Amino acid sequence: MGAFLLGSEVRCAMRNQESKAKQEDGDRIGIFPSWKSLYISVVVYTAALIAVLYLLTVLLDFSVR
Amino acid sequence: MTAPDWAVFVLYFGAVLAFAYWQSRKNVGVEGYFLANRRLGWGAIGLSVMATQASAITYIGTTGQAFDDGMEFVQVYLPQPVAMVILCVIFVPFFYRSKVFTAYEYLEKRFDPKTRSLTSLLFLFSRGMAAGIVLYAPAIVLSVIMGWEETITIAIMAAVTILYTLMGGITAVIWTDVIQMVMMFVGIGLALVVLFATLASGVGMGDVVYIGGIQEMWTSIDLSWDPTNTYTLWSGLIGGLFLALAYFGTDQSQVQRYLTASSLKQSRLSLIFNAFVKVPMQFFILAIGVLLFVFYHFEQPPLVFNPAEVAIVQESDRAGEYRDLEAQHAEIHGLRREATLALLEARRGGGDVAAWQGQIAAHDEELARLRGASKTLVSEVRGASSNDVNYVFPSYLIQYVPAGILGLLIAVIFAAAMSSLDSELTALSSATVIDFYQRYVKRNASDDHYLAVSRLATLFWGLFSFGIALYAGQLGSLIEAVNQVGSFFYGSLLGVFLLAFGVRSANGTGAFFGLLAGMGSVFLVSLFTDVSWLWYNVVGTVSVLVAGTALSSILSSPGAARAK
Repeated sequence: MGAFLLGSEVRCAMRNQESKAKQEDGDRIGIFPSWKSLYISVVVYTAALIAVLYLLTVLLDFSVR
Repeated sequence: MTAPDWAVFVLYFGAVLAFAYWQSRKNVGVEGYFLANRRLGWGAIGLSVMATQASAITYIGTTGQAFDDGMEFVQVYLPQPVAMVILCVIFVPFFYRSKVFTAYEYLEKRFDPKTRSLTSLLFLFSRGMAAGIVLYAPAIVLSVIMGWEETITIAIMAAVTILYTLMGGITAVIWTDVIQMVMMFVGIGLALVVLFATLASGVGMGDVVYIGGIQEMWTSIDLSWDPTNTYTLWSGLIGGLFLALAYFGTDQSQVQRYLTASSLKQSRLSLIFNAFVKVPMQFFILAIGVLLFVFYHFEQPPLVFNPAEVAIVQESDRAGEYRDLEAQHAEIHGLRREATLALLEARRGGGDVAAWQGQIAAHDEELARLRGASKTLVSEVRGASSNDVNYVFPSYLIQYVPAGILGLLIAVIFAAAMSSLDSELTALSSATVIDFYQRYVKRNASDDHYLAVSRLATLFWGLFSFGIALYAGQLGSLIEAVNQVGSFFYGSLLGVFLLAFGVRSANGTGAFFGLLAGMGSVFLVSLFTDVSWLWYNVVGTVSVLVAGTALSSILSSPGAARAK
């Protein structure tokens, strides 16, 4: 119950901050239509990095086991 | 170093000082000195954030680590982009809008003076000691490799950094960080090019990738679940995420950077810039280490890279043992070189690569045994553990890099050290003046007075770090203790800030004792378990959040009334 309340408070604070930030900064950030899309692209970029590094790990392992 | 190297070196220092002087004219008052009058753009701040994190040990130590263990260290950096997003959404708006000078100042606005003072004090203690290590670590390596006097190396780095930080405050620091970061990017590129150029003739890029691959040096992702191992994807993603949040979100040396932005948008973009650039940069630095590993398949590496340690052993009564190890090492290396060339031939001609790989693996095992034996010998003779990995890259530079480029690459190592030290000096002086002097000693003095005190504080911390660096060699276990204490409270500090941002019911007394409970929990975990230090950050954060929330509901505090 405590953890749920904590989580909801954090989410609530995040939502408040995000809405204020949107008002202050406007919508468009370079080629990104919004902050949300920029943040999502960072998360996708991180996932892509992990995938590429995993591929490197697998494809560049030339050891004979 | 030759005359062209010295010319490049002197030119670099001259350019940094001249640029800092030029930038210093833009500073006005304490806000100018500590926050550049909040008018900088994301590009300069982003590069400064990056330069602050990348110390000389990033160059020297990380390349050496990749030389020994491959690319797996990169996993620690993987959560950084996501950490930057979390910082942009939660941390930066709170700091930016509250118009604070230090991260800890915000905690008084939200909680109470004792929480602010404790967190600021913890920062001063750990960063003050760390600033000395930032100076000492590269100085000792460069002194040994270049044959320079250690005190003079430390003094040059400290004097130049203190001078431009005193002159121009954060403006000079951030703009010189920009130059130094550009130098570091150039240095990484140059080091990779030079490494390829100095490879044995006939060995191409495909061969380099292949030789690294047969030894699993390109292994960047380890999916195993082992919390005692720092270098797994899960330790990196979870522990590394909390570490990155704590470092970039609660450490004044980073928070101060994005408080200098002209707007919240610029502040956030500086972190997003880091989100995109940091991991590739770290990847290429580690790749230098793997290339060095391949390079030394064709060139004879020293058995021990640190010449000072070699000299100590050679002068001891166990010199004969070392000579024997060296002779065996040279012989086995020669055999591995032949086997490696034969393997490349077999690969091109469709021969039996498995047989040659087997031979190389056997030679590698023997070489590793000899390296281990030499390390033990050095440790026994010196009476202290050996950290030879820090000498691998500088040793290569001095032996194989052409004149002119060597000067530039050595300047890059200096740049990395100075760009971390300058940020730490401005952060330490801002916490000293804003969190303690202005708060407890003199509340309503003039701007000129605070500016003068700020410069004095910068000078004090500069001399303090210089003193720590001079005696760091004799402090040994104390340095380890300081690092350990740092990892004890980093996660706990993050917990206090999350409590401030996210838990409305939290109050000052709950946060203060929650912080102590968090540090205590980490201490117990370190004492009774073998989990990797990366997880201490998770333990500290969660403990503070749970204890702080619970204690806040039990204990009352005047801070609760002010809670936003």
